[in-house]
Amino acid sequence: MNKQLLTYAASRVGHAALVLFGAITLSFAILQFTPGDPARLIVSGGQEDAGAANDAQLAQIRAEMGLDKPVLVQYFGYLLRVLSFDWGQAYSLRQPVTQVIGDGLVHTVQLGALSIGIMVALGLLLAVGEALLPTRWLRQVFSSLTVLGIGVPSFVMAIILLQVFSFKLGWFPAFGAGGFSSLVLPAITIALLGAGTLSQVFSRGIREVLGENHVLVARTKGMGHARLVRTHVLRNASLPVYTIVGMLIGGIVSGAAIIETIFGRPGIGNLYVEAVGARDFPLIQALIVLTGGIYMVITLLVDLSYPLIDPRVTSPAQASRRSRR
Amino acid sequence: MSIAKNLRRPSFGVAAAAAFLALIAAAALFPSLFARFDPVAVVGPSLAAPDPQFWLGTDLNGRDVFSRVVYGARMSLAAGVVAIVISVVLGGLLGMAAGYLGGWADAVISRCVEVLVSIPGLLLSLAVISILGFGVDKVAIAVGIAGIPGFVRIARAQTLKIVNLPYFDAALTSGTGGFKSIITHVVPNAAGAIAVVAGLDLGGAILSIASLSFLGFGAVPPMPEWGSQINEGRLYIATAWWWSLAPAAVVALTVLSVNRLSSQIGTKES
Repeated sequence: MNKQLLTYAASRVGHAALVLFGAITLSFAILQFTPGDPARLIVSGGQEDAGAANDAQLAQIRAEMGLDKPVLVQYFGYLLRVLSFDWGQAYSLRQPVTQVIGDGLVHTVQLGALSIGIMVALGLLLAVGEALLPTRWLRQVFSSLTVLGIGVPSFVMAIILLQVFSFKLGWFPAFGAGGFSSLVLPAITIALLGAGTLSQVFSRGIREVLGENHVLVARTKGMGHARLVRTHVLRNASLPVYTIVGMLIGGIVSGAAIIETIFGRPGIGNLYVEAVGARDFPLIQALIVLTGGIYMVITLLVDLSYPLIDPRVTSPAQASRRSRR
Repeated sequence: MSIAKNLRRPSFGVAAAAAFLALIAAAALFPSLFARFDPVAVVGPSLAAPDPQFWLGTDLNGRDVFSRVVYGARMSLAAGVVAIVISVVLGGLLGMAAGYLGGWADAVISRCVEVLVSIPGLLLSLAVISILGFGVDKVAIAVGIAGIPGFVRIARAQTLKIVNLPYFDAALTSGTGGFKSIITHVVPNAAGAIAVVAGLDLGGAILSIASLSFLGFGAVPPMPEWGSQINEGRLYIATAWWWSLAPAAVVALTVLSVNRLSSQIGTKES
């Protein structure tokens, strides 16, 4: 490997580590910024004025979370615990945080994987329709579908899909996590969210590439439209899509918070909403670091694979210039 | 020229979006002109279907859904505006500081922004809510804080562009203080670009606030607010679709209209 590529990779990895460190610090800061006594909030399940907590219980929680020590000691203790994957107790559920998250992650990964598949398929379909269909009004139908996908709130979409496919038609269960059929509606809802953005970026890419010189040359040499699009346009137009993958993944995680709550799926999105509701700080902290970590890994993979997809990119400066486009 | 042309003949979509937003804004400012009933009073039978008296039916407690949607506009719009103001002011200040001071300050602010960006906006808002507690005001602040990174970036980029122009150097060398130069030269020149992004973000902010209220962190139940209304009615959707779908449709149309208008303004700016 050449040296330039290696320094590029090293700087990306270093950058990712810095961001993760920042996310860990941020999750620590949550406890420091919370007004009042976090231990009391945890005991009372989020109600600030429920004063009936017993002192022994409070003292135990304070000791477990290290709240009785000076801030700096707490911070380094927290870093050590994070590095050893010791997240303590999820008080609202009376289980260790790692176990709770492990159980939830299975459901969310299944949901996320299926919705990414649907999202990409749908986004590409919409984009190709919007950019390449022969008549103007067909193109406009596709572009208004895109706008709808971006503007309609996910929970509205979920409610409508539930009404039609669960209550009216009875095709899919409305609630819970029981096998594949319970996965379909939530996955579609989340996919619809990102498909609009994806298709906008992709169709803009297609239109840009169609105006470039190499396409013109191929066209003047007599290449048919379908073959031209397949061999010269789609691959080049997909480059900007890679740069928004991180954003789309973030959207899936946020989407999961709402959609899992509506469909009653016990994934980490639902867990996060319930943790905030119960002010279960250890669980909230772990989930923040987890989502920051997921984002970090995905963007790192995208950054590192980018030179393979587009050999023009070898320096970080170029990479960030491209991603801003 | 193209701006004048666009202004003279707005497309149907833009005109419809503007008209709908005007209606929503009027409902937010003068709800009593539109609403036919007190939004929190029991005025009819439980779960009555839409009819000439109750235009959008009633909810489980016999409150008029149409009046509640009208009064909900005030809270939802106000919360959205508060959120955007927080994002613009704090993000703008930090971004201008980063762009003007450069060096160490820029590095610290930019790294902090990258950390905030690594956590999806809605989850960041939820984290802030876990600090502040529950309520519409806190939800608005949380959404505002989650929006800061975007404005730091745009304000920083604009500031960098302007402080490198000759006239800014001229202002400094002719003895105008750095702070005053920023107020007189950077702020007015960066305002346009920031305003466009603020417009685009307003739709997103209204959506986030509705989402968080829907999850139960916003308005306390008898108070009318779109997100919490959708949540109240969603378990009755099979028997009383109007309860949940009426506010849902209004949220969706509002966000679509804001996006349509601000993207129109955005294309004119560039």
